[in-house]
Amino acid sequence: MSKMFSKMGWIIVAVLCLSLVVFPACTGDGGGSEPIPYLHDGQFIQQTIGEVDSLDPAWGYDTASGEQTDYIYDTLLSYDQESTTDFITGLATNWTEVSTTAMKFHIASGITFHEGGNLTAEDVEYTFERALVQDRAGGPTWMFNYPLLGKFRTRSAGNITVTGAEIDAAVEIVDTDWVQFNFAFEFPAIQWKQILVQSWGSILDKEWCVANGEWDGDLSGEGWKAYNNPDKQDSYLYNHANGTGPWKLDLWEAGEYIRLIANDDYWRGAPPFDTVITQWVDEWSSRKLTLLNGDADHVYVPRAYIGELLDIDDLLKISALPELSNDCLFFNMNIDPESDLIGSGMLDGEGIPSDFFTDIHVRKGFSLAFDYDTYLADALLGEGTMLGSPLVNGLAGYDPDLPKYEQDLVEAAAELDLAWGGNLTSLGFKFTMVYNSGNIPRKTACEILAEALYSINPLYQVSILPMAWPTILDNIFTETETSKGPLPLFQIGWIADYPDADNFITPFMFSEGDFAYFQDYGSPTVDAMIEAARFMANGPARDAAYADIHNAYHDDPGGIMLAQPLGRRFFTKYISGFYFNPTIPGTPGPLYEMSKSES
Amino acid sequence: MELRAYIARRLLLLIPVLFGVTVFIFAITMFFSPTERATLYVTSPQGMRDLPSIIEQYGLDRPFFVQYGTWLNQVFHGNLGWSNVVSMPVGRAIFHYLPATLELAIFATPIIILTGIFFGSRAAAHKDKPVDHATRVVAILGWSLPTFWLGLLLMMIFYGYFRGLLPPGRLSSAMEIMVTSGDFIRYTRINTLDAILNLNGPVLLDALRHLILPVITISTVNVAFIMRLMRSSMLESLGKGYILTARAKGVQEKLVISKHARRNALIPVITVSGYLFAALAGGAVITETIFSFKGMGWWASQSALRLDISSVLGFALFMAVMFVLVNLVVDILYTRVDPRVRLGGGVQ
Amino acid sequence: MKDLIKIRDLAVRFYTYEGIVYAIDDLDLEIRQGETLGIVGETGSGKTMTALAILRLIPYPGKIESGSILFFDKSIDQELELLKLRDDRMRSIRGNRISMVFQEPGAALNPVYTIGDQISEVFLLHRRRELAQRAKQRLDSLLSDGNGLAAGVKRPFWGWQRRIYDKIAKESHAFEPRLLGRLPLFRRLLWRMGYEAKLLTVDMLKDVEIPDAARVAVQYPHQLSGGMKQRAVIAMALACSPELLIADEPTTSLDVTIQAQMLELFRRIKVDKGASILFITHNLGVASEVCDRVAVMYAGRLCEVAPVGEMFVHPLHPYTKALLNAVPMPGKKLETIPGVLADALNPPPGCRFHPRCPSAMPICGQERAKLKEVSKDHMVACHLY
Repeated sequence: MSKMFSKMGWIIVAVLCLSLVVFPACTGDGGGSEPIPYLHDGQFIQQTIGEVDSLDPAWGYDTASGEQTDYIYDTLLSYDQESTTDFITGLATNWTEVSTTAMKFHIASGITFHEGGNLTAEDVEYTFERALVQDRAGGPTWMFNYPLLGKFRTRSAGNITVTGAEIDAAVEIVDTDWVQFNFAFEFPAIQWKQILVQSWGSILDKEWCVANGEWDGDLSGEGWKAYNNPDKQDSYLYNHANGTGPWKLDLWEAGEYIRLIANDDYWRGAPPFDTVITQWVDEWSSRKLTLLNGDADHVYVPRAYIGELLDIDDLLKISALPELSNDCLFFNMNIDPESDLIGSGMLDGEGIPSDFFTDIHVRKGFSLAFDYDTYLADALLGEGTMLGSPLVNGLAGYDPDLPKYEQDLVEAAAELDLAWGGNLTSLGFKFTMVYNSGNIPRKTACEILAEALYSINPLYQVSILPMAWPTILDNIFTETETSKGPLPLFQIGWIADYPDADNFITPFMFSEGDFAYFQDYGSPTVDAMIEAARFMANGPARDAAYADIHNAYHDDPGGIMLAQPLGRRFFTKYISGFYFNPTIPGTPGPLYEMSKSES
Repeated sequence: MELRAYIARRLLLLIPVLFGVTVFIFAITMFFSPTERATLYVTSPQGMRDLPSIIEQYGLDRPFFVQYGTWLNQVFHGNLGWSNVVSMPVGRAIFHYLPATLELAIFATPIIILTGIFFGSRAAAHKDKPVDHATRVVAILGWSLPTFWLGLLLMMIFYGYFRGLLPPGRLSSAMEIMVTSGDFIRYTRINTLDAILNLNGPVLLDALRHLILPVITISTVNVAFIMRLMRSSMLESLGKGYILTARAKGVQEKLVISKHARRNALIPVITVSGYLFAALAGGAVITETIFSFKGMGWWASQSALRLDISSVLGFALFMAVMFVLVNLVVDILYTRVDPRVRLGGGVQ
Repeated sequence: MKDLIKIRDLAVRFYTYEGIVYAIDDLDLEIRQGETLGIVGETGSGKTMTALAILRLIPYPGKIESGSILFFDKSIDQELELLKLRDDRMRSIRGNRISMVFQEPGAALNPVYTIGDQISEVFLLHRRRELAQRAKQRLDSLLSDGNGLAAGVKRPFWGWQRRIYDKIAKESHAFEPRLLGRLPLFRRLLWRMGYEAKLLTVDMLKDVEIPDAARVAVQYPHQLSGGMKQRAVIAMALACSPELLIADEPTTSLDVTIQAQMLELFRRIKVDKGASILFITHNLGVASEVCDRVAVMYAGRLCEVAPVGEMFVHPLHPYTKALLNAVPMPGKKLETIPGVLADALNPPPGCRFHPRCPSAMPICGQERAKLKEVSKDHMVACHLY
């Protein structure tokens, strides 16, 4: 008897297992064929990843914060649609260059903040002085500090290095309704406008800020110093907002969603959506289904999943958008000799010496060995532009016809034969590359390089190691007294602060630049070229200067330049009005100019 | 021992527990370099050059005991620190994320325990019969199904295939607006409970609709555990002499199981159920993430991933308190179920 | 007078992975009315299985393979075939007309219920009508004596309760009370039956000489001594005045003084209640003290049945003789039976005792000896006779 029962038990098992396999297969991708319903009239709902860090315009330096700040606040001026060099008026109705070191903006009248205050020139002056006073570590205000005060930060080794008078003089009200910015040196107006137009240029209401415990605007004594580099929670503005923008902050449920409601008295006219809801949803399948069910109008689509949406008709699909960002595999020319990743630490075939990459033949050989086409196809699914220098498409000075490396294993082998006095071929080398665990494109890049080198010479051995992102950052941005960090090669990317060539060239190539410094890259000659080009007016002369800089990077590569990704956007078909401006933070685009309707 | 004295003694025990837990966790985080811990405050590659000043600002390179002392001092002043991943104080973050998790736990725990007990005792009563095989198979399947797989499958079926039937999240956006508007008072932030307190039917239904899938997901995974425990405990109990006595008395088989065997078999299940509830109250990371049902698990995992130490410590404190309290409740429950057990004394 | 229990050709087998265990093999045995029959044998000889077979409680994977057990029902003057009775009828006999006391009183009592609860359960199972009748009478007196406001308010409620009890008293499983019994809250209406059962329980506990019976009734098993527990178990078994009380080694786990008290109790029960007792023991001394007749079992088979005096004076079966020799006596060398108990999985052919038997003959290994009456009431299964 019991034998029969156990047989029945097994039959039940079999049926269950079968149904578990078959059921998902039947239901799996059934959603695509049905039309997406029109839901949530008057609302724009998006699902994305990435939390808002702070709603304080002078604090936020991430896209999520910038996007929400953009919806709530206005800046003095705006880009003209897709252009990154032409401007239209914002809270400033007019602006002029007073001199090469000063620029003034006429502040519009009759504009009110959400909480009722009137916009005045004083508010504008306060906004920028507050940004200079606050200047939080790791924040965006260096873009103001540098032209206005002549230094990147207001502190050095924990001590405040600027005076109240300097800040006071940097921004001042002239002729009652004009605000004038006085630069520390000759600074191109277009770059200043490009800085002001971003979210950190959002204008605050002075009275409201002061009433809520913010800095009181007094620069005369020492009192303002207490407001320098605060903790995030010390500022009222991190989770409160009072702007002049098209939407007002309704509710921010950290981790869940942020909800904005229409500012019907908006000076440009009532916004197209009564409510804008940004929900944070980590799970892609959940975001996808929400989009296909019409419960969201727009979702963030990771590159790997783009294929799942391409066949769905009811979507507005926009492609080939040149994002202002890039990725690069940097050579570390002064590796920490204590590093675990360089084997023996000597050129004996069992490791690499600390100064391995100082030999230009090594760097050129590596650059020639890398299989760029495979990288583009595998890591970016073909959606990207290969670069020859840090400059990306969309910046003045970028020229696709300038030379860039392509894979040539014969030439790569020849270069490596020349390296280290011709000894590398016979000795070989061993070291370890790291990538941040979970980042498939970066892992792919490591594998491509490792395979190519091994195929050239089996003695060229590169192993690959995943590491947590904070650990990688720790290992990149570190130095000892005599060397830089322990990573022989590191991969990281750059996202534009403002769309100017210098914003890309300086971090990569200037010897004190964000990345160059930590790889011991750069030369006085190139530094001089960069400084000369930095403040030139846009035009053929500047283009030529950047072409030279590009060639300098090609001749003396600081890293293997990878690609500039091409972006895609997916909306339901009910959304219209999207245009691409790479400086708009977040993925929905120019929301105020977009709309949603059933037809 | 008197109940009150016993409770007081157990609560006093919390102090060394909490101290130990926090020192331990703090010590672990010290294995991460100051720079790694500072990256929490940097949101863009451009901010990296300020890492040294952030380390200085938050004192991340000071000796272990100085950092721990600073933290402890702050805790004694009623401040658990700042949770940077969600931009709010840690204390508030706990009260912000606990309701969602509690809501899941409150719904899932009884389902898990009751179905576990029911099917566990059925399986034991029909040992080696089809019911037994079927329950064991289902239990093993549920136990071994990856949570994310089950969660995604359920969502694809009940939100994708049956369009919009059981959506992810805690409330649909319209209800979310209603709940956060002035008329609706969020007493507890447990949506179902608040809806009842506000006598708001639509919100209640909507909240329940969003609860079904996550509760099923959590339950399926955990029920197997209780079921198997109940089955073995029940089998043991069924082999005892008093069961034979009961049968010899002429007690119906149904009552033999439900009255005589089950109550004795429940004793080990109570302990495990207590810990199950405590664990569920600590959040179900994967379920919360898949269904955007953001609670303690989500918060804790985000904090851990981004090395948000004050959040992790706050979470650990919460969990320690939770476990001690659950232990206490389990002990008191014991005395109700098993007359042989006395508080603080174990079995007589 | 008819035998209370008549066992014929009873065979119990256990179907295990190792093979078939012949726990009881073709057993014939009677229990007469009002007598105490002892079953004696070594551990594993099938004594307990015989008892469980009578109650039809052979544990899995055991099965009653064949045979018949007849139970003489005095009330209808008929013999009932216990092995063919419907399950619910069998249940109404267990604990009611045939009850059992187990060896280990500590294990036999449920640790999570009070003594009172466990004994009242028997009344609630088998004496529903009587309990309902008593409750009804109590309500009647309440209804006639009750005065004052409280009684006035409760009067209609009492009336309702009375009606329900009346129904139960007429038909123990009437529909309405059965329905109410399943509904939470309403279930509590039936509390008076529980109350009556408790009163009977206390009487029962007094009956088995438990001092302070009312207090013991609300105590849990772990709060009582071993002897008290066994008394409680006996009280539970006697609750419904069974016609047959099966006592499975009831004194083994108790110390000697308590043992003596317990045996005294059994003797008194037999006299007072007139019940038959099936007394299972491996201790011949104990058997000689309480039993009228003794049956000796070996490896699932009966060897010898005789009145107790005859058995001790003229044991016939070599195994009985060996057993008697093995009883420890002061001043006598302790003897043991050579060899080990027959393997139940592969029992020896013929007489199962023959490998250990000092007087074994060739035929013993080939043929099983039938049970023969050698003198009045003295039966033996041995080729010697």
